[in-house]
Amino acid sequence: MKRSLLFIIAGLLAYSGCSSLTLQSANFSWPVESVLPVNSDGNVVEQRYSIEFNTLPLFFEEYQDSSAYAGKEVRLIRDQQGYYYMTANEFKNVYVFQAGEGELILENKISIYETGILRPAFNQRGTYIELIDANNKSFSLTHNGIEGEM
Amino acid sequence: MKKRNFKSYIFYLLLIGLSSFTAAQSDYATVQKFKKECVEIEQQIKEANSVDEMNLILENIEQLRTNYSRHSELLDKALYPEKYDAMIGDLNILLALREKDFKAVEDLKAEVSDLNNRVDTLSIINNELQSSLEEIQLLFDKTSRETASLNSIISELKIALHKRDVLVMNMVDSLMPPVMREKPMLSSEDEEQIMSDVEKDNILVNVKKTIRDNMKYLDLTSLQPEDLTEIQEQQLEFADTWARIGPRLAEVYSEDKNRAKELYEIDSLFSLWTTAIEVEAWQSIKEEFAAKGVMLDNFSDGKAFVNSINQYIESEKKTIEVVPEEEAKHSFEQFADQTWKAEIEPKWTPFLIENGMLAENSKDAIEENIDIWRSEIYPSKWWLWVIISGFLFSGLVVLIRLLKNGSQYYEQVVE
Repeated sequence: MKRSLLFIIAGLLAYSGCSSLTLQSANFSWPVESVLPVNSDGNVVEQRYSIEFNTLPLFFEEYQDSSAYAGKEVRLIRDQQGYYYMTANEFKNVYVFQAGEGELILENKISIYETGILRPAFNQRGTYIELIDANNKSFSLTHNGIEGEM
Repeated sequence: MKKRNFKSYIFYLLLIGLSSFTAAQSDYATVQKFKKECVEIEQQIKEANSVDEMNLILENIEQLRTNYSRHSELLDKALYPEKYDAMIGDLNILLALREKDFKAVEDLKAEVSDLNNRVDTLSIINNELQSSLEEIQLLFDKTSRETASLNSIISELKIALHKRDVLVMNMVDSLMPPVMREKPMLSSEDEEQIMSDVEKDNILVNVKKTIRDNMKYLDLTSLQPEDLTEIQEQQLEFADTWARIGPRLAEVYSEDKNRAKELYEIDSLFSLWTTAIEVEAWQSIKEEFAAKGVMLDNFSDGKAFVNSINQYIESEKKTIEVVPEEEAKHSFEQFADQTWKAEIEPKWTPFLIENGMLAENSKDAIEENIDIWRSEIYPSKWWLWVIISGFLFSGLVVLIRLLKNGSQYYEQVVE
């Protein structure tokens, strides 16, 4: 009986020692989107938040043509939970990524228009990301998709 | 009731439309637009040319503040590390600084205009004084009354000239504020402004007239070293001011041959003015000697001055044997004691040496020559002193012997 009690206490101590520290109420939101020109290598650089990544796979995913990035700008914003929302002019989709180790991992691909979004823009709206287009049509986005459509 | 429902319906439609319109604005576009408008206003401030324009810009800043006040929270976050209020504040500060510049320019313009008027007045006074001086010098017969009158006019003329020098110098100086002088290249607006000021205030004519009048004053008067030092200081100050502004004016007038010629003429006049001061010093020294009856050959530089004095001494030395002793002594005293030691050496040689017009060793050479002249007029009689000393010594020896013999005789009598 005593031996099993000692085992339980030791187990509890070992568990508490291994559990990770978590800081709550983190808010990763950017106040405004960043509009990033794609350079000749397909890279974009966000100076304020110090993010740099290559967009060739994104353009390949959208157009099935990795050279379609030429002269394009990528619009990028981060929500409260830390997901990155990315799109560009005439993209049909908004791509939602989460940060990995040295990479951005696709979380969701939200289809907006089959014909492509004209002059898209993201706004930070706290609990969601607002997407607007050239016709002032507005979509409320979360990393799960368009709010209200789920 | 139906009508009221219809009105409410329209109102809500408008409200929804308006709210959807408001909601459909891009925050990024709002931020960019704000930044762009700030840059535009900043540019307007830099390019503003009048107080009216500044007032308009102030209204623009207020409009910007009003238009974006509802986005202030967004702008504070998006503009980090800048802030919405700070950016508007910066524009106001920039505007205030520019207004200060404008005020300084306006003040300078008013000052130049005032100076111009005063220069005109002083020019008239100067001309009158110079005429009086010329007339009095013509009629001058050395009566005490006229001397006093002449001195008073010279003094007035000197003050009036100095006042005008200062005014013209200020006018030249105010042509280009220090900020403009430091620019490596003047803008076309700067050049136009300078040209306009130069023409409006007749600045080149005034500078030329001032220098010529100063030279005329030197020509009309006989001055003492302290007067010349004062004039020299004024001349240097004026020349310095001109040296700062003149080359920039040459840039401004590089295309205008007539004006470029005038600028060159002014540079030459400054050189002539410097020479005129030196000529005046030599002339005054010659007059000092002449006043004591010492007539020297003409001289206008240090070498000629030394030669002239040495020649005079040599010729006087030659006459020692042929003229009565008293006359030779009188000539020497007039030259050496009354003029050289009393006037020239204490008053003029420091001025001449300080201004590089006479070398220290030249002065020593003159004094050596004077000493030789003195020794020829008052030859040394050392042999007479030797004989007198010999007599005195012999007398002393005889006296001691007499005393000694006297004491021996007294001792023998006592014994």
